Amino acid sequence: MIGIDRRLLQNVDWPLLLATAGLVAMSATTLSTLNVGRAGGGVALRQLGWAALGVLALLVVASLDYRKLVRAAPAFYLLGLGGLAAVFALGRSVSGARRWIALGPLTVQPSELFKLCFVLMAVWILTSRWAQPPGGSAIVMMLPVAAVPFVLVVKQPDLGTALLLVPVLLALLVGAGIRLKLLGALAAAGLGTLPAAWMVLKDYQRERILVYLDPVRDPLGSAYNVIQAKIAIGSGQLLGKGVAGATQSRLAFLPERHTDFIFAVFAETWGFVGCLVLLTCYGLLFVRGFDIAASSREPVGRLVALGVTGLIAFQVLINVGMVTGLLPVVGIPLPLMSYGGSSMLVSLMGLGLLLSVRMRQFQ
Amino acid sequence: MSPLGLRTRVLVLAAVFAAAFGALAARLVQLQIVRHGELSQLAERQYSRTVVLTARRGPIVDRRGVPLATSTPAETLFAQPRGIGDPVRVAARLSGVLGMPEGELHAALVGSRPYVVIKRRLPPAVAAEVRALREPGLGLLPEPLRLYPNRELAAHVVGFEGVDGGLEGIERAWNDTLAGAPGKAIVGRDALGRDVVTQHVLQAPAPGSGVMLTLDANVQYVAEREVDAAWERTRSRAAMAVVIDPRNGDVLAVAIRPTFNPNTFADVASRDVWRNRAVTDPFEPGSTFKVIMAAAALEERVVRPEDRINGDNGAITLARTTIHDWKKFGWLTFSEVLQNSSNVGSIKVGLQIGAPRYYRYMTAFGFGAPTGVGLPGESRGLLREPERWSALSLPTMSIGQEISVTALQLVAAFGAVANGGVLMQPRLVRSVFDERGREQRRFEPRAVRQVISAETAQTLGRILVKAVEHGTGHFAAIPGYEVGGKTGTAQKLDPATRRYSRTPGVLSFVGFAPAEAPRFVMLVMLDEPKTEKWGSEAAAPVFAAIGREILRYLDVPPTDAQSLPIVTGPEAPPIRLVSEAPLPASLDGAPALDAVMPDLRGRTLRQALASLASVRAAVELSGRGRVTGQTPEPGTPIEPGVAVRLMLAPPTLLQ
Repeated sequence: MIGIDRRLLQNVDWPLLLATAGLVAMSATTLSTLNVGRAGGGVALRQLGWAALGVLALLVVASLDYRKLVRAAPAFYLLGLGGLAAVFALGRSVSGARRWIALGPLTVQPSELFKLCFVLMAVWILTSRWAQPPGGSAIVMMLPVAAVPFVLVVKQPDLGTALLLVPVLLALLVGAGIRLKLLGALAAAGLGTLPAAWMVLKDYQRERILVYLDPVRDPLGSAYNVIQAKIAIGSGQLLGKGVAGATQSRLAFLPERHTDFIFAVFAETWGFVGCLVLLTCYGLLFVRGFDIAASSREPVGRLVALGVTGLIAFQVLINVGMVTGLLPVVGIPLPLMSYGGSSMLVSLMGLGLLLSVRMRQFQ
Repeated sequence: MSPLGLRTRVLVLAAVFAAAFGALAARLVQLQIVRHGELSQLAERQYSRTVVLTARRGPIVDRRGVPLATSTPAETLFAQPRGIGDPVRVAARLSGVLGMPEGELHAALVGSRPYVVIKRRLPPAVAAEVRALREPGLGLLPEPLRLYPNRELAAHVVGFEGVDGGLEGIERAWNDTLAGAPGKAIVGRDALGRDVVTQHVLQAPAPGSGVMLTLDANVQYVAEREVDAAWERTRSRAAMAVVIDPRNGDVLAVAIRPTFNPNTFADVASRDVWRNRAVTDPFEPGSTFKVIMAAAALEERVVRPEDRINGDNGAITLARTTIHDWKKFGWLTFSEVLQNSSNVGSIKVGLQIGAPRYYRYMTAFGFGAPTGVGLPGESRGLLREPERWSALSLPTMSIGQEISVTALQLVAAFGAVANGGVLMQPRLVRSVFDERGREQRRFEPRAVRQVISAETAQTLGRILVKAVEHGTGHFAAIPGYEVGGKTGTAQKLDPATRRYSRTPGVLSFVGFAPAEAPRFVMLVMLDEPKTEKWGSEAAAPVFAAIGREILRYLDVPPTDAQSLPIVTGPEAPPIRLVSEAPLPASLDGAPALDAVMPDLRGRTLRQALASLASVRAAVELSGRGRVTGQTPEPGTPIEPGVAVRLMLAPPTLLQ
């Protein structure tokens, strides 16, 4: 169905794929050491299953021309919005949040899938002929496009994913060449809405921010996660405690240890050295991503690469920042590491987009 | 905007990300390198609890290795109420297994404390049942159970162990040796407070050493049997027999009534029964003490055995106090004074010795000072210094009043007479051995001093033989042997009137046999016997009954027999050693801890028996010398109650 040019294969970004494979392997290894609820060791296998599906998706996306995908962005975007809306009708509620939809045996998280749709849609707007050069009109067009899903995701509620859209959008605007003055004005306006946003936040969300500002506020309540994560990471020391010795993780002191806090498990088990290896993999991913963006000679490729790289990089920064206590706790998974099919699928598809841009840079 | 400018913007964005990445790495350095100690400690504190692993307490065995106190594996059940699922159900299930009331269990399981001991020292079978319940929040820790397989046998010497170690007797005095060093383990627990299966042993417990006593379970058994019978027959307040080997001071038996079962030591009417009266309760020795006076008088040549002394018709008045004899004696030789236990004659000789000299001899015989036998609460008795004596003190002390002594002091002093004048320190602990039966420390017999010359001792010994043959001690005679000894009857000081009460106080007999080369010295004492008909000689027959069996047990040939004496040490008697009494029913079936037959070949009998001390096995011996063969074979598991056969042969030059 899709003809793959031989020349395309010569430009496959092997370091990128290597780093990806390394991260998936680390994810599965870490998950296999955890004894999570009734699922038991099954999480590692399911994660690998999702990764396999993701690799398939990666190959499909990479073989497609990203320009065609961007051209079809409005359709993806509307589909994504539909998914977000469907959550309210069909969604499964897990611990107070409706984020998942059951599709047969699988459960998908539309907000995860929507992230990519949003990047494509933003690139579509910024590179549309009517928006050239990108400036005020693009921003005006962008506002509703960002605001509608933002509100829908916040209402799930999934503040983390919603907030993630903001820096990704900012990075795209910077990359698209919007004048700095205009960006400054936008930032000022954004800051102006913060007090209003505080009013909209739910109590537990406010509590999380307060806990971030004052961690000993409530050690057994909201701050518990962060304290336990810090203890886990710190007790990992230089070389880690090994699988058997990782008491924080294995003895269930660490909450959300297979999803959002998986980094703490990894850090406890493998120590600082392990963390450096992990961060090096991510670093390699980002270096390749930015390189693809920087070396792209046309705006669509550059912005797609920038958007996807930004999407993954922001998630890594926010997640690790949150687990190490540098940032408030917002529910953002660690791409390629955290247990979760949708996140894995989307991250790999994003990397597929990067490859697609890369392979077609030298045509 | 130029493509170059856009490229710059991408690179600037990349730089921002790189900086953020650097911040993350810095944070990791801070947490994992800088603050690792503090955070590791926090981790450890919340997941682990240190528990004490009780060391296995060393056994207490008699001089042949017969176990008097052993430890058997047991487990203590504790609960962590936070981890208990449904306290009602758990209480109901536990109640069935433990036989404890459900309500009591439920109260313990719902308490607010994080760690509650439910029941201590469960036998292995019960512990296994608890384990089979598979209830989270319940845990078992090894804590051995102390067993006294021979029950009352030597209870006052052995003592007993409570929750926090030895409380009485050897168990208390040697607690540090027996206890070993407890170990430490970390029990991990998860966020719900449940113990994690894996236990991390930080420090393995060091098993305690065993203590081998000089007691001989067979002698002890005979002594207790006879003392018990006499105690009941005379309805005495207390009764005791103390047997030592005069040659080395070894305490062979300490039989005391009333007694108790150390397995259930708390079930006693009064704690008085725990007391080892032979060392804690001094008494006025009365006439038996005339022997001490006689020893001093003969050694100082104040008097010779054949010297005649006027009995003054059985009365002597000193300092306006008249002291009577039980019979109006006329002229008596000094030997006859002792044989007939004449107070008048004894006082006259005592006055000739003089206070300072008599005092010197009494202290030389060990009175007024603890013997150092090493039992808790040993009394020094009461012996005032001559400066504080009244005009009546020397005469009354000559007949054993105004002084109080412990049974052990008295028997040790007689031991000096029986041992050629050399006072031996009473020895109760022979050796200390490790968990494999290897000797760690050995306590050699200790001669305290030569109190009187060997000739004096010999002379005095002949007089005491006559006292048994013709005098007051004739009930102590043992057919076929020469026995020396002296009776004693002492009134007790009535604390209300400060005068001697008229009722019989302490009846005693101290003697030794065989007179030529004494193998044992024994004191028999009856405290306040109620039954009058046995009179002042009630103690002597008890001495004879016990002494007869000791001599037979020790293979001492009768003097009238013409056979050549066989040289036999007490180490190798052809005898079957079995625990005398059954174990408490609830513990039957508990396997012994080292339930594997050790290789005993080549060892001496004593070493072999020490190795077997912890095994509840009947030991059958044949032959003498070193172990040459054994059943079961080394390495075979030993079931409780199995018969162990040891074949012994003397070492030959070929070996």
